[in-house]
Formats: sequence, C-alpha cells, structure tokens
Amino acid sequence: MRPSVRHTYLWLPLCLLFLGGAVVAGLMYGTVPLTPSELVDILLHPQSSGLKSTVVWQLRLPRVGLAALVGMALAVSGTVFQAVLRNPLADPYILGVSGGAALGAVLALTFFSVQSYTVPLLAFSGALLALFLVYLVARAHQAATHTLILAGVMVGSLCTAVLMFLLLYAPADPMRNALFWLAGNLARGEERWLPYGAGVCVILVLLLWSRAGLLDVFTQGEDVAADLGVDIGRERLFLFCAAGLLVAIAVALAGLVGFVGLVVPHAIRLLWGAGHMRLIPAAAIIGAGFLVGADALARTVLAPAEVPVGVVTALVGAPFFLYLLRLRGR
Amino acid sequence: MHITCHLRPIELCVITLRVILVLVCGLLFLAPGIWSSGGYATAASVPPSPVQFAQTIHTDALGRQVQLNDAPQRVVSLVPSVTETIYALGAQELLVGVTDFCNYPPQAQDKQSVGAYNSPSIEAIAMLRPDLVIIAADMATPALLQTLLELKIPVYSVYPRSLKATIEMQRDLGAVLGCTAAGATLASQLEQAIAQLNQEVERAGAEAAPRVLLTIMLEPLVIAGTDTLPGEMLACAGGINVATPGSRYPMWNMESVLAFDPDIIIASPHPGTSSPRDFFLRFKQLRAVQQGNVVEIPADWLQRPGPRIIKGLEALRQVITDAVTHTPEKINATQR
Repeated sequence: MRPSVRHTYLWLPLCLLFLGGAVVAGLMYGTVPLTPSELVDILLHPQSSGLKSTVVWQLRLPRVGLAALVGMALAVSGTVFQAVLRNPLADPYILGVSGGAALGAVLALTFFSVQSYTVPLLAFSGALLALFLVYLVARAHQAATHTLILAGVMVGSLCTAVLMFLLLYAPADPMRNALFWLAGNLARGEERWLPYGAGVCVILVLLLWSRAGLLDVFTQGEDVAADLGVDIGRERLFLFCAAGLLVAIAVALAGLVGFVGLVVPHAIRLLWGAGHMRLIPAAAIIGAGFLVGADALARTVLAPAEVPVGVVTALVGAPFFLYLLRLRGR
Repeated sequence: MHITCHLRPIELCVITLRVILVLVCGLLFLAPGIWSSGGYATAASVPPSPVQFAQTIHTDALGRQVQLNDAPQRVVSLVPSVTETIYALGAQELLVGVTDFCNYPPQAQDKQSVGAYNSPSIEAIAMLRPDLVIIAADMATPALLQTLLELKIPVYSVYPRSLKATIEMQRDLGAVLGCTAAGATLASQLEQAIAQLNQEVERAGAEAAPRVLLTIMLEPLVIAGTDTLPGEMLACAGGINVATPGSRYPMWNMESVLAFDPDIIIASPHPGTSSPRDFFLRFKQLRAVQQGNVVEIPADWLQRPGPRIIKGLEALRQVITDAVTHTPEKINATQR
C-alpha cells in the first residue's frame, strides 16, 4: 500500500506545477494569440483597455476560474464517492444529483423567463432535492452502501424520466437550450456566483480533507470501520451530503461536465497511492488543473470555433489513464 | 399398472400434440397458399389506394423513384417548411396531418398533429390514411421510411439545404401536389428576389460589404457558417460572413467575436433565453455594439427553407444597407 518514497514529497510541487501550467495555458491560448510577455503586461495593468486586456480580464480569467472550481469540486466529490461506496465506477453523478440538477435546469429553461439566475438556482435546488430524497431513503438503513447507490440511481432515473416527459411538451427552443445545457458549458458567464461558489466549495473540500483518516478506514471496509468504533451510518451520511453539495454547486455553475470526477481520483491513486490525506488535496489541485487545461485545448484546437470540453477531457484523459493503468496496474 | 395409469394422461397429451404437429406440418407443406394468399396476396390484389388517378414517377431528394397520384388527396407533412410551402401553394385543403413544430401559418396548428418532427407516431400517420407523406431526407430514418412503405403509404422526401434546393423544392412540391402552376410561381418569386438582390449588391460594389456575424443561438454561442442556408442568404444579401469559409454551424465564444469584431451582429430572439441585445451589449468595445448594429431577425425567416426565405433575404439586405448608409466611412475603414 505504501507508495514509493521518492514520490512522497514531490506530489505537492508537481500538482501545483501542473495547475500553474494549466492556468497559464488557459490565459494565453484562445482565438486571440498572446505572447507570455503580453500576458504578464496585461496582468500587471488591469486598468488598461484594449482587445487583449478585455479578453484576458473579462473572458479568460472568469472562465479559468470556473473551470478550476468545477474541476476541483468534481474530482474531490468523485474521490469521496469512490471511497465511501467502495466502487471504482462511482462518479460525482452516481447519486442522482445530476438528474435533479438537470431537471431543475430544464424546468427553468422551459417554464421560467429569461433571468440568467433562474437556471443555476433551479439546477441547484433540483440537485439538493434529489440529494434530500436519497438521504431520506438511505437514512432509514444506516446508509448502507448498496442502499445509497440504488437510491441514487433510482432518484436519478426518476428525474430523467420526468425530464424526458417534460421535453416532449417543451417548445423547440427551450428544448434545444436544455440539451446544450446538459452537455456542460464553461462559457456561461455567471461571474456573480463564482466567488460564492468558490467559497462554499473550498470550505467543503477542507471539511472533507479533515475526514481523510475516516475515508481511509472506509476504504478498508465497513467491518474494520465498525471495529474501530466509527459511527458508520452518521459519518457516511455526512460525507455523502458534503460531496453531494459539491457536485450540486459544480452542476449549477457549468452543467454536466463529464469524466473529470471519475478519472482524476483514479489517476492520482495510481500515481501517489490511496491515502486520503494526500489524495484529497491532490485531487482538488489536479482536477482543477485538468479541467482548466482541457478547456484551454477545447478553445484553441479549432479556433475561432470551440470543441465541447467533455470531448476533450475524455479524449485526452482516457488514453493517459489507460497508459497509467498499463504501467502501474491495480 | 399403477405407473401406466399415471402416465396415461401424459401419453395422451403427447399423442395429441403429435397429431396437432403433424396436421400443422401437413398444412404447411401441402397448402402453402393458405399463408400467402390469406395475408399479403389480398393486399397485393386489392391495393388500399385504388388507381383512380393518373400516376407520374417523381425522383425525390433521396434519389428514389416514387410513383405518385397526380392529385393526392390526403397529405401528411412531417416538415415545417413543407407545411408552410403547402399553404403558400394554396394546397392546404389536401393537408391532413402536420407535426408539433409546424407553427406557421398559425392555422396549420389546427391540423391534426402526428407528433414531433424527428419522431412522428407511425400509428397517428396510418390513422389519417394519407396517400402521400412528405418527409425531410435528413430526418427520415431507414426504419421510418421502411415502415411507411410496408404500410403502402407513398413517401416523398425533400432536402432543401440551399437556396437552389429550396427553389427546386417549391417547384417539385407544386408538381407532386397537382398544382404545378402555383409551384412554378412560388419558385420564380424566390428566383426573382434573389436576382434583384444580386443586382443591388453588384451596384453597391464590393467595398460596401460589411462583415457580419450570424448567430443561431447564444448560450452556447452557435453561429451559421458559410456552408449553410442562412450563410448563403447572407452572401446573397451582400454581407461577408466572419465564420471560417466552408463551416456549417460551429460553436464560438465571445473571445472569437471580439477578435473578429464584426460590423453587424445578427441574432434571433428565442423565448426563454436572454435577449440578444443584452447578451452583446456587455461588450461595449464591439464595433457592432458601438454603432447600434446588433440586429434581431426572426429565426424562421433565416432557417426555414420555405416561402418566408424572401422575408429573410429582404431583412438581411435592409440591415446591411442601413449599416452601410449610417456609418459608411467606418465600415470601409475596417476592410482588410
């Protein structure tokens, strides 16, 4: 289980280097080409006007921020779900949160007017509602792993069914918007929400980090946890709620961005071992960097057009992950 | 003794089954006519739509040779633009079924709907007993087409993806629906509108051509490239598309809009989304925003290959001439 010593102290600088590189790439690349010196100049003079300054300050910075936030939230919640459910296929959307959020967003797009805040607000409410439903069911049985998974999948299916039914009655335009929303989009400029989302996410990540030891025990199995005197049901519900809230925020801000939450935790386990003391901060930083970098690539390869970011995350992430899997095994 | 007694009913059953099997097999081998003549043969000998009208063979957009009555009486349109064209041809009396998306002219919504444009209900279509179903070639799944043909319902497909194809479709629909003259008139109206625009644009000269961004939707920002019907209409109206030549419907972002800084931004208001003006007004440095050239044109005028294309072309030309006359020197200065 113990990772090789030479990596033990290197993980933090490596993670930060990756995130830094991704952020620089995210700020430098896009339709408008920038040289490193231009970027530094623009960042040092925030008051200057001009095309490049506007592009960096008004468009790229918020987008990089959003990508980092969403990447962090998804990677950390994915880590927690995989540990608590002891299921390598668990991803942030496994517990029905995505279904609830999607339903909320489609409701907002179909029945409510044009205010830009209705979609994230209703998506968030929908995610919370789905989470609450799963919570109600799971609480009755000490939140046993399979109860959680089944309840989550069922709530998700229920939401999807209602959503499909709604889409049948939705006029063409809201339906098209809803489908695009479901595909995930980092261009949506909800800048006002970003600081609040970031604040709550960081607190949740720190809270989950503080339970790193507990997550390690969960990975060993419930019997071990019970033997060690852990109140399994309560702790699991807490972890589930905190991680679910993270997902709800991510989905409300950017729609359903796939792949990050599934693959980043696995990649980090393969690189630096399964201890959550290191896994959670590493997942947060690498998840943020991965999505920022993928988004930079998505904006650049076909510029002036862009590629959906979910395509890039899977296209770049899956081969790398397969390589890691071949190299290290499990 | 006991055993045979117990087995007897089972043996009986087995014997009965064998007899039935032999009988059935015998029937199958000896009288194959029962199966074929009972079902399909009758259908073949007595067609559901008896030949009362003269028939003509038409070639549709899928390249199929379709034999159709010269005067169909019950037509189902699975294409909103075809529904519009049928009304423009004055043939709406023939129309018995439309889709949920056929919202123009408004009275088209009173017709029986057979479901969504991309997933119509076969049963609803069959119940209308149509003698012609018109489908879009890109929405016709092989299964849908096959099912309709198995139900002996004649199918005619259209694929209007360009101005030329739209003109041809109007003429062909006239011929298919037994109103050839109306079809020819409709087609020549569009041809004339295009010819007139070409003349106007030529007279104005190439230097008066502004650079235009044609948006399809705003969140995410999807635009019409040059290789699309709206793109072709824009070129026809004398605008230069800022999209990459040869593109269809690429997804853009605001950074690209700022980088290309078009003279005119054309957007279509959609219910349930933010207003196009508000969306672009956030960026004061955009030339189109500064000069008040963020313009709204209804999506159906630009995207539906039907009779309202003419309105779309005129609106585009109007927007372009307005922009050029109000700010000619600025637009000319931006030409590269």
